[in-house]
Amino acid sequence: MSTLHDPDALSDTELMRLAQQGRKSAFEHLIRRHQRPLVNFFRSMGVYNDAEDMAQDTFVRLFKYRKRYKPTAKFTTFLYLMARQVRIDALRSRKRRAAFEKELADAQRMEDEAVHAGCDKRPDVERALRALSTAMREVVVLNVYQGLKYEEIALVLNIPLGTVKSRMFQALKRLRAALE
Amino acid sequence: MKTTAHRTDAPECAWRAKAADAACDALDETEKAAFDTHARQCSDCRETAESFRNVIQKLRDGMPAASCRDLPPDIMRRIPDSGWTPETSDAGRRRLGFPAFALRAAALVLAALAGAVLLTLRFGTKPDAVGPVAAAPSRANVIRDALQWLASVQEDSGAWAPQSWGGRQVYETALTGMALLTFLRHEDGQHPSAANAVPGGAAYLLTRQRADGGYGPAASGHMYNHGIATVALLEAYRQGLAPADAEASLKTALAFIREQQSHTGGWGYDTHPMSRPNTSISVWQMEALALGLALGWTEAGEPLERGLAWLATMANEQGQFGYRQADDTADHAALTAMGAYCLFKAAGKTPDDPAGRALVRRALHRVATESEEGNLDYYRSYFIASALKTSAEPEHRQSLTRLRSRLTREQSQDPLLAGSWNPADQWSAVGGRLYATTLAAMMLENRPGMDP
Repeated sequence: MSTLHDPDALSDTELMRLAQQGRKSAFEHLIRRHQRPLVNFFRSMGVYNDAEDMAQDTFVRLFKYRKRYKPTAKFTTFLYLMARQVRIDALRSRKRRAAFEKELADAQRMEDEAVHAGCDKRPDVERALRALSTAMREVVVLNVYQGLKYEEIALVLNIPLGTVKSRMFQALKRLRAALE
Repeated sequence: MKTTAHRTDAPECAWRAKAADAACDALDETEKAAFDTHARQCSDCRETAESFRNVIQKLRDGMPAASCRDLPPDIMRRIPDSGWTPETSDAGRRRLGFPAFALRAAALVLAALAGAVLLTLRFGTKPDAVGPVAAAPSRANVIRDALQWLASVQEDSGAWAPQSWGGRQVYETALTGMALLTFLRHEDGQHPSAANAVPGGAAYLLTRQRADGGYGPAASGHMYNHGIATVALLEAYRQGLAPADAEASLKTALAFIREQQSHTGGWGYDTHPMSRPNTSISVWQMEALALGLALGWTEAGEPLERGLAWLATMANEQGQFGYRQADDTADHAALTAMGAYCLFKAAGKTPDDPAGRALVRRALHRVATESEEGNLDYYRSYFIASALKTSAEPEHRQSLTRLRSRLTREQSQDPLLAGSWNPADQWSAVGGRLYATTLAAMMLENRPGMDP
């Protein structure tokens, strides 16, 4: 069956390659394919109000660095490398940090209020994830939610493969305790 | 139910650290088998892995899917228009401009006179065709669009990178050779889009030659890389479009083919004479030898004779060729086409040999009757088209016309990929879009691809 006018038939690599050639519609399609998982990534990492803004920043950065993408790397590895850098840059930004801290404080206050009221609606997993260190949470989120393999996570986080494994092991132990 | 998955009092098993990897499906096959074997004996590891799987499942079930507004409009506002190339006019202008319109109209009249209406009724029209004019883009335009797409995706190095287009990088040499051949077989490499593509592609292939004479990486399937690259470079050399140092490289490449020939006369996957020969790989080596012989390099003659003699043993009484032996269960249409193609063109003298002529006639008959069966398979169809091009029989020409009509209809008109063909057959995971496009474009050429 022909797949004319059907970018869904194209792989991420093909779309990225077309975007490198300046094909706008290919880049738009790539964004639509990955926007929801990317926003989900930022939210899983504790970014709530700015998740969509950070996703936007990630795609703009992806465009800027599009020429550097080599098809030898999986596209999502490249994308989440950008996403992580965007998040780190955002946290380094004073303005963002202030907003982030306020967001954390607000979230904590809401949580306390909910617990006091005996009607905690926050999903258990979200709280369990939040209790992990950032380093552990990144590994879990990239693997469980974003579907990256250990080797790809090691590339994104720029850490040895063994570190990915040990962080995942420790994270799963803590999550198991929190979720039981 | 027992819940001892995370007891802390017992000494920890050395395998336990693998439990997370097992739960995350992060073990390779060997590691997984070893862990599973251990876990059958070790309840601690088994229960730990199981508890981790439960945690992962809870994580997946418990995290609500993020809602998200449509981001492209905001993102595109942040990217200057100069970052993009115009898209809407690319395919449209080529297909709908006045010259194309006139050509198509003329083609339509001719096609109607030739009975193309019946073919249209049989196969339907293009999905996006509007009115009768759009139903028959000229073959020249279709080929031109294919060449323009190929030229647009050539790497700065001169290579074509299959991994960028859904193929396997290990076949970069072969696919670069196929792209090069596509340009060389259209107007003898003189089409404007070939001006940069051919010198760059030929120069790149020469850089891929190893010390032993083979082109491409020394990996399994290497003889595909080598055979196709050698054919492409010989074509370029014959047309005076290869770099100055190509002759020495090509003679070494042909010597490599001689060295890799099995004692039975065919060629197999690997760079070893003991590799079991098959028809598909052997055809490329024989085409290279035939081209070398046509250039006056007589040392190619003897291995070519041996190869053709081996190929003849692959045919059965009905004119069907096998893959590794006559009457095996392979795709007979493709292999028969390969056999006919090679015998008819590479042998050159076959028409003077009554037995060979009869074999070719039977093979072509099989090709003509089997060519429309099943889904479009580019590799299979490429050889079918090549074989049919060698014949002037009306039945064979009609089969070729129908095959080309189908190809013309299936060329992508998607603005993103105009000129290419979608990789959708059984070999597309190996060759990707480059494979589909180069073979489809070459099928549309009149040249059989192996002129003696």
